[in-house]
Amino acid sequence: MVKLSKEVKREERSFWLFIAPWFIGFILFTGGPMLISLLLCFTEYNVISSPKFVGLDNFRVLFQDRLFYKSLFVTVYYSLLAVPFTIVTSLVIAVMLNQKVRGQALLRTLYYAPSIISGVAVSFLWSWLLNPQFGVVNSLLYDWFGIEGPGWFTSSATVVPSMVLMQLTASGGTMVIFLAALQSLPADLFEAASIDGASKLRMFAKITLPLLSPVILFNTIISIIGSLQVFTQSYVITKGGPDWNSYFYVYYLFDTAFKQFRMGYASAQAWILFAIIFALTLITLRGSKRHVHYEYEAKK
Amino acid sequence: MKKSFIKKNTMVGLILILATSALLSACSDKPGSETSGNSNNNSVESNQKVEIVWAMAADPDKKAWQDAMVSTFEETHPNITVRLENIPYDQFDQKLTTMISSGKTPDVWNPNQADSGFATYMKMGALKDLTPYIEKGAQELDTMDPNLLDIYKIDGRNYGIPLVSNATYLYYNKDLFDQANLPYPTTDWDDTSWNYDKMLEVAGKLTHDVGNVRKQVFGFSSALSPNAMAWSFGGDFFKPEAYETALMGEPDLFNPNNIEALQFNVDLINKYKVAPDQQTVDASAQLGDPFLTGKVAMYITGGWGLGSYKSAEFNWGVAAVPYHEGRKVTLYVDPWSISESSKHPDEAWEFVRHLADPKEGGGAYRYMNEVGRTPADSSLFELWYEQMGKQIGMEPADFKQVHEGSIKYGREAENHLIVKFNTIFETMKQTMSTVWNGKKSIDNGLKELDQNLRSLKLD
Repeated sequence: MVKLSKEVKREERSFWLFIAPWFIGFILFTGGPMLISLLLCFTEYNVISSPKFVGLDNFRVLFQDRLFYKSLFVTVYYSLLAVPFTIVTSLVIAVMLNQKVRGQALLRTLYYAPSIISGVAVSFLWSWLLNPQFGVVNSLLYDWFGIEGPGWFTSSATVVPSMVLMQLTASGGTMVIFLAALQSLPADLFEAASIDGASKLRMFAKITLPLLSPVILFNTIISIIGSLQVFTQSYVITKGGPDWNSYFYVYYLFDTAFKQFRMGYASAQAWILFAIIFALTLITLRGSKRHVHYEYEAKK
Repeated sequence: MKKSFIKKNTMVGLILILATSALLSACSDKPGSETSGNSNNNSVESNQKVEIVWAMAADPDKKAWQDAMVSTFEETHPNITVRLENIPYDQFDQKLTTMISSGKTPDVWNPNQADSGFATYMKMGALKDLTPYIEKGAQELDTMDPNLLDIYKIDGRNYGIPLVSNATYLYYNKDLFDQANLPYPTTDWDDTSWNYDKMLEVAGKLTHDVGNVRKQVFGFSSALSPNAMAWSFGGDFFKPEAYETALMGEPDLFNPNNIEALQFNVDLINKYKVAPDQQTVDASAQLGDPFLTGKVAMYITGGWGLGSYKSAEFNWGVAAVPYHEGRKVTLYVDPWSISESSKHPDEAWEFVRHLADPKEGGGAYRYMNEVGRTPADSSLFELWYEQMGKQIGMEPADFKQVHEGSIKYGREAENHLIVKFNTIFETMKQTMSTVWNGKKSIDNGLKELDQNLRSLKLD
């Protein structure tokens, strides 16, 4: 063991001091409830009467529950579309907002602004925009091109893609992280490349993307986690319909907990989702090893 | 090298923390909730001030009435204060369960304001047996129709005092009828010539431009659940025991009347094209009520339309639901209940009496008068017919005929009688949507619904 110097010790103390509010909050408001929900997994609990221990019954029922599979399928389908869509659109927007143009600050604010509005308000906005009868989008499609627009949220086939489209107003956070990373890229590399006569596109592919790869990985993982927990859209706009096609996993969980009062079952659902997200995150981290370049590694 | 290791691990840590937020949606309630027995010490007599909590689903139409109820009650009961908690309707279940599990149960509330309904809360043991109070005598209930009181009588015990009794009517858009030069539908529920064939014929004449989203007008639509459609054709999705035992049990979907009812409603959409399809209904529901768009000439729904269609930009009236052998329509009687775990049940009962009082200035009287909802108490009906008739431009006698017909052919709503009917209802709605759009035959749709209903865990 290395003996810690006085300075390091002091630093450590202030570290714990500064992190304490967050740490205590985590234990009380996240850690505690998590532990309880882990215990509730093995019980039947309707909120009013005390929990009754039922062993692994909740999991047994869950694995035979058709809606469990349906909701998982719908959620995975949504994630498969939403994650690439979010990453690509927010990267493209970030690259554009990184250009030196007039009104840059205003544009950046405009693109980020929707992210600070509550998801419920944004959902209402989209449900009006995309309303097949009265919505602006279908009206414009009809007036300008003479085509009847799709049913968007009201049709089984288009409901999930419509919700993916909603990510356009929800990916401000992802975009800002990209933008920050873009701004910290070393200018010398680009200078050298441009002297060598590399085209813009080539520079983007050979310099920008590799340098951004850790950030892309981070955003991808956050986006996977977020999209597997998708809820608000279907709660506000479709109530899981039509024909269960937007009945997302967390929506089902919410239903079992707060509509059917089956807290034990809902806890079991939550823990399975946790396991899925945990596993996917690990897989993504492992699988990305070869494609992600860390600056420090390159320099060693 | 070491640096890169740290960097990657920090990220793993960060991600793990974010992943845990997946669990935030899980419940965070203390197990072992407080279901202490009531403390029946008569604290009305003591001088201590008692606070009772009255929970209502938030509704701007009711706000003035609510405030008046609290202040008039507090005037006559100086020892009791009433704290009003308005909760948004779609959060009622969620909020209420949280309140109950943390021991902060509201004392007086209407269990049908929540999606899950009376039966669910009854079965959970959340409601207090009011029989001893009723037996002690309450003059406020003297003019209450015993049949209404019986709706919330389970195994001979009363768990609710009716406050409204919404019926079901056929609402029609007078302007559209006038434009098509058609007579208004009858107010007489026993007029057997006003049947579904006749309704279809009228609807056909009222329908035009279907497919042109901007101009289309539909002759008919309804807010009926598939089960309510079955009722109106003399069928039923569930066995009679379901409504008595409060448990859905084995569904009974393949009854010929059910199939006839669904076939007729599918044909209205896909064959005769006089009714909007599911997509169109969903689209207009996003904005409010299909009937309020003015693009539906006849619409079957509950009595709350009398209040909510006041804002319509067209003239409208109410009529009888078309005749069919065995026809039944839905009645929605809402009760006041007291929580089983209420700490002040006696004071809460005093407040319920105040709310149920049909005399001028009393709760039920003012609810009818100021909020405009269908009263539960028989002594208020004549006055209500007068008011409603004037408001919607109908002869009070005609309006009375429509309402009494609806009561005569009415039966209590399923969601008030069967446990967790909201889940059953959602299952019906979701599964049947492919039948309405013609993707699935009725037979296949019902088979799938049967499977889905049987796989529900409702107890």
